[in-house]
Amino acid sequence: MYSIISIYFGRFLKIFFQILLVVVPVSLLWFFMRPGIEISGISISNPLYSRFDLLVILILFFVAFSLMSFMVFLAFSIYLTYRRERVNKKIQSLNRIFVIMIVNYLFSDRYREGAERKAFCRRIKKLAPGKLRTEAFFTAITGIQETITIDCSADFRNLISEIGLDRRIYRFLYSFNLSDRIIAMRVVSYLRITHEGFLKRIEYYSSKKNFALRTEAYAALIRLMEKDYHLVSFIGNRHKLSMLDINVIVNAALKNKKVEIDYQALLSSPLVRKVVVGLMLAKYRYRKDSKSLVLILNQVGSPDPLLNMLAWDALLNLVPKHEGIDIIIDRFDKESEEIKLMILKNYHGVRDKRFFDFLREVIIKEPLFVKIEAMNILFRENFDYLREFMKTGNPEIEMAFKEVTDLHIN
Amino acid sequence: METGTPIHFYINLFFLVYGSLLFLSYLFVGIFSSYELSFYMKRNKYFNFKLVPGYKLLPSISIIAPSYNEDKGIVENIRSLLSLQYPKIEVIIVNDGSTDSSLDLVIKQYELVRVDYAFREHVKTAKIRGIYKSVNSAYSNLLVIDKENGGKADALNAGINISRSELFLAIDVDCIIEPDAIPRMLKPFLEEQDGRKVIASGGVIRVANSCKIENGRIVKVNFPENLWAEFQVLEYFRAFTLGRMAWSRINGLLIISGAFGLFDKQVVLNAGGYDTTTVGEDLELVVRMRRYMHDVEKQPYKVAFIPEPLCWTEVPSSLRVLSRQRKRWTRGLIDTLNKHKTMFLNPRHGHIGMISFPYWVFFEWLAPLVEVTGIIYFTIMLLLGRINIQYYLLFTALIFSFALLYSSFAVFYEKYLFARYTGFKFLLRIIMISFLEIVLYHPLNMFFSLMGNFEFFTGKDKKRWGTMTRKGFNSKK
Repeated sequence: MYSIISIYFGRFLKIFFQILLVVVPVSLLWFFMRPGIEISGISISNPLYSRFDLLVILILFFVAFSLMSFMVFLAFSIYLTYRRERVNKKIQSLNRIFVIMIVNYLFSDRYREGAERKAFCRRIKKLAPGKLRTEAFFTAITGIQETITIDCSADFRNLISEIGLDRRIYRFLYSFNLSDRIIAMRVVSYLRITHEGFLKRIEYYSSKKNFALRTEAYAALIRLMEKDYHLVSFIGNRHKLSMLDINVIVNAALKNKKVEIDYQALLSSPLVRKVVVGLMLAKYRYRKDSKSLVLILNQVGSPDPLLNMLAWDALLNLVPKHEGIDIIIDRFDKESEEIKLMILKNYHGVRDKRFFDFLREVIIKEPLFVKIEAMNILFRENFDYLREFMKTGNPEIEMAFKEVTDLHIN
Repeated sequence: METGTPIHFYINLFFLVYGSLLFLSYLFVGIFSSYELSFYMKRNKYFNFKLVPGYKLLPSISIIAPSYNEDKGIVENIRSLLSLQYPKIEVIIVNDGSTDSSLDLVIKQYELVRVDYAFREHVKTAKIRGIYKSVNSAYSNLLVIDKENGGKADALNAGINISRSELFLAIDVDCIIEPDAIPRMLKPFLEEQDGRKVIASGGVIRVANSCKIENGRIVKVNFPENLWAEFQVLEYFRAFTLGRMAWSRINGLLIISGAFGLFDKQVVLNAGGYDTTTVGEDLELVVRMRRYMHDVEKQPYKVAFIPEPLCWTEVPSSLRVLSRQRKRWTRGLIDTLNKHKTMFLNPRHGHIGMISFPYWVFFEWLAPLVEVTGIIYFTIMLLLGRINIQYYLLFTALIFSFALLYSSFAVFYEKYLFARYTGFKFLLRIIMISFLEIVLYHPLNMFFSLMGNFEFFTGKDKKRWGTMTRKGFNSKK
């Protein structure tokens, strides 16, 4: 309760000062443009009004306002120059100290219990008060957990509760400040704090319009997941996912080895972006399952170019190369130049007569860059096929041939 | 105020209204940029840009760097470009018919051999004499194109023709790029959603004169020792940190600096590539791309801007070179405005036609002309005793104080958000420069702008680039 009141009070003060910043100059201008004012019976006269024209007063006001603002900005710049140097040094040393202390805490038995542990907690507690220091502490623990593969979340949770920083997580998560919310979500997810209220809050942030907040919320939720039902339920339900969202989700899911991905639910979703995530995860973390493979195959030839491309990408990586040749020969003509290029780039190292014959056709019929890629394969795998294209009279084939031979020989 | 005859009254009123509108525009720029800057910083404070190259779904990028007689720093500059961390990247250096030894130096240093490299000529360019690739696998993503001289736009077009990537980063070869510049510039493209296509993104350019550079990296940022470069530091603070950020807020940005911009290659090609008939090819391209998106694609789009200093360049350090550059900028500006004049106050082009384009006409092109006319007019009137000296001095004081306020605001934001220049000495010098700028640099810029107008309308040197004499970055400070 205290935290909520202080968050809202802080917010109120900030808005109040912002309003004051606008109201004070406007009120002063209003005052100087009048002969005087009367407040609660006290009259204050404007000495400039009788001496100068209104235009002169107006100009003088703006000159004074500009000069004063100049002085204020100057003073702030000087203060920042002084403060920045101090804070930078402080943050650097705090980060260093926290990282060293926490690594010691994690990997040394002496801090497990007893007086040494109490003394350690006291030392951290002494270092951690104040927003800047708490931020440095949170950054250090999330950074460590992000880097190492061992799950130290329980140790971190114990440490935080012993030094009494759990309330800070709450304050940060419910703060009006975007960067506070982001760091809080990181702490909650890396420390696997599965408090219902926190989870609801993060889920709420995952549905927000704000990009940075939403993306971080996705990553946090995935880090917290043990089963996949959540992954399926929240991805792309409220927002059309951007490439950044997709990359963040996929990376977070790939890092969290505990997540069991339900490929079928993702791949059979009516939401395109959900299928995109499913295809990418299938490519990088596939569990052998014929049903999923059929679903991936169903996406090949999709009218959505991204979906089609990712379906091909997943398929080419999951199906053994000799088995994929038939699919390629069957569908190649129907695909865009971009996908044709991607298919061929994935099919180096295949030594199959049917495939070589197919490549010969590709060189004759397809656009320049596809020709080049097909020739690249033939140059490495079967140069005899390439020999016939040395002199064809077709300028594009000759251009492609020259590039391939030139680059390989050089 | 003594108005004299009615004609004087109307002339005075015109200057008053124009000046007030100009001040108001600066005020709005200040407010919008503050809002956008603080939002950008909060949004990106904890975003780990180092993770971006590890993403699974990324577009490929070509860095295209035209080069003309850059033998002093080209080897170092290419090294800087090659060291950028991104999985799908190619570096294309376009030697635009240099007459110095730059091509030989690059061939020797990077073990290049001439190859038959296939490409489609989407945009017509001057004849390509040869394409070079390295035999050293460490430089496998480096391509050097040797072509006949055709100007910067033509060189960029040649690079686009050769490029096989989805996006391209157009930069000046003498620029030093921050190590995380590409992920930062790329982020708006990755954030595309709701069918709103990002067609280009631009970044902040900073002055590299006097900075300490090692292995193609800025290792210490120093405030320039040359007076003209010092003025340009302040000018770049104001133009990039405040001006462009504000226009980005309302998606009204009309320029992405030719020295550093990431573009969607297909949109650029569909729009026709760089215009080789103008000297303001960077401004012209963005205006044409916007026009293309409005008229042809009819799709929501965005030109993004990254307020962080990502690219460092050597600026003119002599008055002669500075005057050439500014005259060229003015000619390029007028040419672009003239070429796309149908966009002016055209509601079909949304707020580009109704706000950005008119702003550029009234306050970027006409402001120096109005200012010089105003100074001459009021000085004559003052000498003839037709205006009140009190008002003359008061208005002058207002202009000076407002200029100081604007400069201090820009410096404050630089200190608050980026703090690339450190120490009190910098602050002291930039304040002195802010005062000097009003009485020395600004009038000079007005003069150069007038000369640019004269050259454009008389047809003299209309398409001439002029030479940029560089000192190179080899000297370590």
